[in-house]
Amino acid sequence: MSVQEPRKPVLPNAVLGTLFFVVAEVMLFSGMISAFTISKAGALPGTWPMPGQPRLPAEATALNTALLILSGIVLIVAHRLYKSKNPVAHWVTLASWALGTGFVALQGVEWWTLLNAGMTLKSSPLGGFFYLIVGGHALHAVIALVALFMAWVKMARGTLSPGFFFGTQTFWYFVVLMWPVIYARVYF
Amino acid sequence: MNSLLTIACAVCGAGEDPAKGSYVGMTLIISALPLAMLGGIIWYVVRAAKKAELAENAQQAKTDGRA
Repeated sequence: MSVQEPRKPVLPNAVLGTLFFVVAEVMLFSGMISAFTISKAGALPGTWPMPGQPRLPAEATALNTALLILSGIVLIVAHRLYKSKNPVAHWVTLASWALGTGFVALQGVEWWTLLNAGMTLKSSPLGGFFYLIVGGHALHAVIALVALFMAWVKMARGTLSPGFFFGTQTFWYFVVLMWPVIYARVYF
Repeated sequence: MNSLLTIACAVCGAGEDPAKGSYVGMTLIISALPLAMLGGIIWYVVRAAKKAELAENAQQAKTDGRA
């Protein structure tokens, strides 16, 4: 009598768990973007943004957006290299992490500029929504970057489990794909 | 001044809500989004499971053929 081998899961548990978490997070951002959209549509003419408040730097943020999208593309390359057991994979993962860190750093500079220009959480509805939505995204980006850095360290040491790497990637792709939606809705 | 008076009146703006389209649009998106996402995950898992089963059967047939 032969004992049947246990089936390999079609989707690693880490990826499935992260996906369900991502679904909940997408709904969180959808709720915030929905509230933002309705508030903006209902604002009186000339009050969005409020007079005296700075405009959001949509053009400068295009560079941040490009960095983040590039980071996602580089991580896809890293994933392929990792699967083919290419030793360069961990350097490509580090490049993706560096691009993501560049995005967060530039966002920090932008926040600093806006705060100095008088746009705070309480200065206007736009300010409140901006820091809530963009800040929420930045928080997710920082958490994902910590996980990505841990993945890089483990990969360089040769102790990385595929589940951890794929789960981290799933979360990073969520951060990358969520951003263009936020950028298009909030900045324009 | 006129616009301010209109805002003060509770019924003057009735039927002219500029945010109405946004309300409807966002309600539709928020209602459909979770169903689409969960449906997408279920669809992907079912498809991957079917693929794995086919590959397993093919492997089994190959092994049986050799024996």
